[in-house]
Amino acid sequence: MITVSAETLAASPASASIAPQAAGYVVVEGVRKIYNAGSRQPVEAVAPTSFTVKAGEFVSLLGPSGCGKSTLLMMVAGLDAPSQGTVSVAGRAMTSPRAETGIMFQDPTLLPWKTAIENVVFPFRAMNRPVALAFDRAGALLDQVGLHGFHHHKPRQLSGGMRQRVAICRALVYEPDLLLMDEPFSALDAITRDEMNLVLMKMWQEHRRTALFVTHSIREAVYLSDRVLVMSRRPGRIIEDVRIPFARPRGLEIGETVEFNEICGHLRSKIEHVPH
Amino acid sequence: MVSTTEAAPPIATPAAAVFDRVRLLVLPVGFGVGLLLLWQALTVIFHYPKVILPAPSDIFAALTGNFAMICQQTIPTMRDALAGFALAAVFGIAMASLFSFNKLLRAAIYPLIVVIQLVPKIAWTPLFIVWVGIGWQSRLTIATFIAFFPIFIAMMAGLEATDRSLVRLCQGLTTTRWRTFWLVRLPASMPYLFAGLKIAITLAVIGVIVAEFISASEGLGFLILRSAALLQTDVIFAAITVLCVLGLAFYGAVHAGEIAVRKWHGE
Repeated sequence: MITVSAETLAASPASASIAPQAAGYVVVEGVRKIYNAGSRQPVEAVAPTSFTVKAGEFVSLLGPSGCGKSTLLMMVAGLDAPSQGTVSVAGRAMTSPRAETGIMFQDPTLLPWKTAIENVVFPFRAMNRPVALAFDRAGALLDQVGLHGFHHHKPRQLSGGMRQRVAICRALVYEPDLLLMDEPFSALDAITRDEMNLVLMKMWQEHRRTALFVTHSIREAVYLSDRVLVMSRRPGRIIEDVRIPFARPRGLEIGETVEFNEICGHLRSKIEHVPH
Repeated sequence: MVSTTEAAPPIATPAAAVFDRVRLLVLPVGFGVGLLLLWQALTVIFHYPKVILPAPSDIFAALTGNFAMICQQTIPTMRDALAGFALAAVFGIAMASLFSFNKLLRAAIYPLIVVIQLVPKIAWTPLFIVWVGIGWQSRLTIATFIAFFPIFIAMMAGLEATDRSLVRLCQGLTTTRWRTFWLVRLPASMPYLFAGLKIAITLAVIGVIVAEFISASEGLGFLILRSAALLQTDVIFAAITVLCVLGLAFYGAVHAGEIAVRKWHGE
């Protein structure tokens, strides 16, 4: 059972509870995914792929639509099983989902009949943990993402960006050590998306979880990440591993710098010249 | 920023909006009243025999003149219909829930239920009377039997239509199947369930009336049949009037429940 107050949540240093000796917090080794295996037309979604994510690191998986990056993320989440290879998180092989992983999907996936704050504490109910203490923390998180005064609104009364903010709070409220995000902002308009990147950056700065972020937006990946892994078209595999040097905290203005645009240009050329 | 209230159409004035709403109510009510007046006028002008087509005023007189007796006959009909509806709801919800947990059971039995659903179930009524006797038990059984199907099928649809990503979210949170059912699938299926309940409440009343036609010594169905034998057509119409009011009241109650659920769902 986890009982942490809002103060310790806000004050928790980067990766305090994460074993520092581990070479990678998330270790993906030779993972391959084939759909319809054994049928006449098997589809290889992910070609044998290996990478690691260090504790406290923010890594993006960047690639064109349908390249298998979401499949890869779902295998790290334990929601999908690799056809070959292994995934381990915090030294444990992933055969089923683990409660210490927070997941954000493309849709906010909120319960429409629950208020914002009820949706944020939902993981406590879902995991059968005492929910009473979670409300304070959920309220604090909602305030942090700028939803003060909207705690008791239902999802239908919130805009798309606001719903996704609720989903960020829900993914953080039970203090997962790993945050997996599957194109969480792809359904939002460009302006809201920039806004959400700022919110996510701020929350990540304050809560410092190991993060794996799937996106097909080059600028979003560069803005958010410590490292960007570029995936090829299907069957997806990692063809480039780029370190992003900008210091944190980062403002949106770094997007105007020459260096930022050079990195984006480099990544774009990699995606465009992907060998099939 | 928040779109809580849908903005009124900018061109329509409040007066026009009120007129629109009034028109929606006044037109059908006015048409109904007009029809009754026409009926009254025709029976008076052409001197239709009361036995064939009583005037609305005759029906009203029969209703008030036999009010105590009609009320007495209404009770067993109402009781059996409501009890059958409630039992059908319990069985329908329980069975659909069970099927959502056990895929094998679902695969084996669900197609059979769908096939039985297509059969005119009212034709089974004499069989139930053979099996459970001519008492209230057979009426209750028939009402339950025909009200079960729409509830069961709506509930199945609701449970299966649950947002896949919500279920996935629960899987990611290592939620047990039972908790996922209780926290997500069951509340998500409520609007579907109410669509089924609305059909079922109407069918439950029909089931009881038909059963009363076949075998009963009480109830509105019995009253209709006996009055027909005695050529008391006005009493038949009075009983039908009560049935209409009863049916509307039941339907209205379920409909109110549906509106409450949809509101709870944030619609």
